[in-house]
Amino acid sequence: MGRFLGWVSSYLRRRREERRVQAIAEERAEALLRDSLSEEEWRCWQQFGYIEVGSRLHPQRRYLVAPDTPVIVLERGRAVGAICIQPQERLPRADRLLAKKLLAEGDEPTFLKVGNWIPLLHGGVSARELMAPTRAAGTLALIWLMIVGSMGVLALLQWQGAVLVLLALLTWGALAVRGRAAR
Amino acid sequence: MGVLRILGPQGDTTLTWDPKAPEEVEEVRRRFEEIVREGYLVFELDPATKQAERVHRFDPEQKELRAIRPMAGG
Repeated sequence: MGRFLGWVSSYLRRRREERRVQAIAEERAEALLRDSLSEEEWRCWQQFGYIEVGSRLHPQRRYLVAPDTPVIVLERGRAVGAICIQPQERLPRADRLLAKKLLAEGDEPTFLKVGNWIPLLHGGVSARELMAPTRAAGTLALIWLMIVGSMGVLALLQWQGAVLVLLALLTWGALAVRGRAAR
Repeated sequence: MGVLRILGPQGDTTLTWDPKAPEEVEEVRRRFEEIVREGYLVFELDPATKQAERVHRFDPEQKELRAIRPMAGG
C-alpha cells in the first residue's frame, strides 16, 4: 500500500511538473505569436481564434488559419475546401498557428504540396469522408465524457459533463442527419 | 540587432546578433546553417507588416527570423 501511494504521489508530482513546463511553453508561444503578427492579425486571432492569410499565387484566394483545424480555403469569399497540415512535433498552441501561417504565407508552393486537400461537401465530394472522422470523434468524446461522469471525481464536473454529453449527442445527431442529406 | 527564434516543444529558442559584431554574426550563421541542414524552414518577417518570406541564406542585416520544422499533411 505504501509503495502504491508512493507511486501515485510521484506520478502526481511528475504530472504537476509537466503541466508547469507546458504552461510556460504556452506563455512563451503566445508572446512569440504577438511579436510575429501585425496588429490586425493579432486582433483577429484574439477576437475570432484564427488569422487570414492572402495567397500570393492565387489573387482571389485567402486562407483562414487556426491552430487545431485544417486551413480553410476561401476563393472570392466562398469556402472551396480545406488544407490539412500540421507540425511534425508537439508544439504549443500559438506556435502551431504561427508555423501554419509562416508556411502558408512565406512558402505557399510547399504549403500546397505538403498539405492534404479536403474538398467541401459540394462538387464531387466527400460527405462520407468528412463525416466518418467527425462521427468517430463524436463517439469517442461521448465515451470519454461518460467515463469522466461515472468516475465522480469532481461533483462540479458532473453537471458540466451532463451538459456536454447532451451537446455532443445533439451535434452528433445533427451531423448524422446532415450527412445523410448530403449523400 | 537581429533575432532568430526557433520554435520547439518547450517554447522557442532565441538567438540575437549585432550585425557589427563579427563573432556574434558567425555564431548565428553557424547555427542557421546547422538548423537548415537539419531540415528547418526559416522565414524572414518584414518588420513593418510582419509578412513572412522563406529565406535560405543568413544575412546579418536581416532583422526578424523564425524557424520551424517541416510540416506534414494531416
